[in-house]
Amino acid sequence: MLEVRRLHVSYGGLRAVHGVSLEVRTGEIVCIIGPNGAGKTSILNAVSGIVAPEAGDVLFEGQPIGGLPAHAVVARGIVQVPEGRLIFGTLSVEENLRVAAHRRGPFVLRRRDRPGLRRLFPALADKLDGPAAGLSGGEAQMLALARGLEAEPRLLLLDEPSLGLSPKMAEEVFALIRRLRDQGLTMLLVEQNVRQTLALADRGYVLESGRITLQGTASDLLSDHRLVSNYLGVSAGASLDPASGR
Amino acid sequence: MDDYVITVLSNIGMISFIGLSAYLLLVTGEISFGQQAYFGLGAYAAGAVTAMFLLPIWVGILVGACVAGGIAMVVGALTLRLSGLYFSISTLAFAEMVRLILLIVHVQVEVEGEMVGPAGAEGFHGIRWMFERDLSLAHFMLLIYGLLALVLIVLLLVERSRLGSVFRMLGSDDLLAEMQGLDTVRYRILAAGVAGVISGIGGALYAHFTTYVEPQFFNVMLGVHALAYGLIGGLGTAFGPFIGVAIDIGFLESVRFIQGYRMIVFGGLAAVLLIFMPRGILDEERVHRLKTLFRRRNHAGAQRR
Repeated sequence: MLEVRRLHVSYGGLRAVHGVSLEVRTGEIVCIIGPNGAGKTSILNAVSGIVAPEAGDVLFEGQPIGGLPAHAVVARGIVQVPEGRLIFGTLSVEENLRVAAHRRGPFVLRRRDRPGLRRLFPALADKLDGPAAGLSGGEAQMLALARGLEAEPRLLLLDEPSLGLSPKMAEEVFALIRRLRDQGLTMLLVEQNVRQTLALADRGYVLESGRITLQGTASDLLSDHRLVSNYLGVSAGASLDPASGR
Repeated sequence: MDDYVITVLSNIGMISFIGLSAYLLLVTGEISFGQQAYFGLGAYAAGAVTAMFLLPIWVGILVGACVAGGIAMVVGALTLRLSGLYFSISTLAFAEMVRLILLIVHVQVEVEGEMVGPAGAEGFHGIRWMFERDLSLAHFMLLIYGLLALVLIVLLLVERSRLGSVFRMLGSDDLLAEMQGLDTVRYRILAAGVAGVISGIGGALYAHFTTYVEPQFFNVMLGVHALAYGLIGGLGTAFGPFIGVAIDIGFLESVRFIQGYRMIVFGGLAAVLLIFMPRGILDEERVHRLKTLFRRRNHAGAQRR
């Protein structure tokens, strides 16, 4: 479905992504894991058209989409849910959702019954008319996800959906991603929460300093001793010694 | 009603058009100092249609609106990739350009033995459609408020639809809007065009109400007022600018003892309001609270029945 070949991304001469190649097949959850600043978000941004790739190809269902403006990429069915729960605080919850429903044209009015929303996001369905600024962190993340789905994506790009959430909320977000996969949605997921991410992903790529250093099925990655020692086994030591995080 | 009251009310109505025009752009996050140009273009175009080509006034208003809207879209396409201050400066420069061009435009035709048409700095005299038909000021006021109601209803419908949310979203984060699949440039040009049309209708009415227009009237102070109406009245609903207009013309203009100090009082009021209510009296939050209140009352009423 999505194929990225030898992708290079730079910001003002500073190269963030060095020749990354990856692939997402229909129905899969593929994750990109790695430390802060490894270039995970840059890859997503290059796919979704937020930044133009410096070099390399991005193919979606065989068609090159590298360098298309972001709205044109969304029109093809790739929707990115950005990091940091970026929602429009002055708009109501329902208006946030309505804006994303770009396939319905500009004159859609408020929708009263949203059975799909109630099923997946019961907490949001009760707050449709409230301002989005009044949502809690977890609810805001749910809204960002719901908004992404409102655009009817074929490929959903999720950027750190569990960032800054309580463990309980993070668990809910992961449960939701699982439900979306069961409905057949293809997802490319960027996360730092390695163990939970690999538990639900089909395949994964480990990104370090803009290069892919490891790749494989999620279960292979979970049992890989390098990954285990770098990201999973040394949580206490990592926070004391910044060097060990690498 | 005496003529003075009708004149003040009509002025409120006509100026409201340019207030709504600037408001629409404020909602999309653009501060335009140039909406007076479209008011002026609408006035000249509509005046030309009725006084020089002797066509009915509705043709004049239509042409005025289309000329203003069309030029606004062209200007929009040229300037909307600029952001913030640069956009504002470009709108101001364009408006001044229009004013200076109107100062030198001399196109007159002979109508019934009289020369009619724009005469540079002397203005455009003889737009007498209304008086040739013995329409009273009160009748014309009804026309003004009829059209104003129409524009307001359209704006309120837009605000209730997805398009309204899209416009508000443009005002807060362009990149995020792009990520929702919105072609932000196209929506900005659309907003500029609609704002131009609204301002142009106001200008078309103005030309026929006063029977003559001159470029000097469409100076930057008109544009600044238009902005202030939205900022004072509030950016949460299209009703906002009316509060601003009502305060400026309705209150300050009619209270005699502050007559000479109108600009000082108005400027001070704008400054104070912007400090305490940065998005105006009817900002998004208050509008939302009012809506909730209204909905709850409706709900309670429905249950009682």
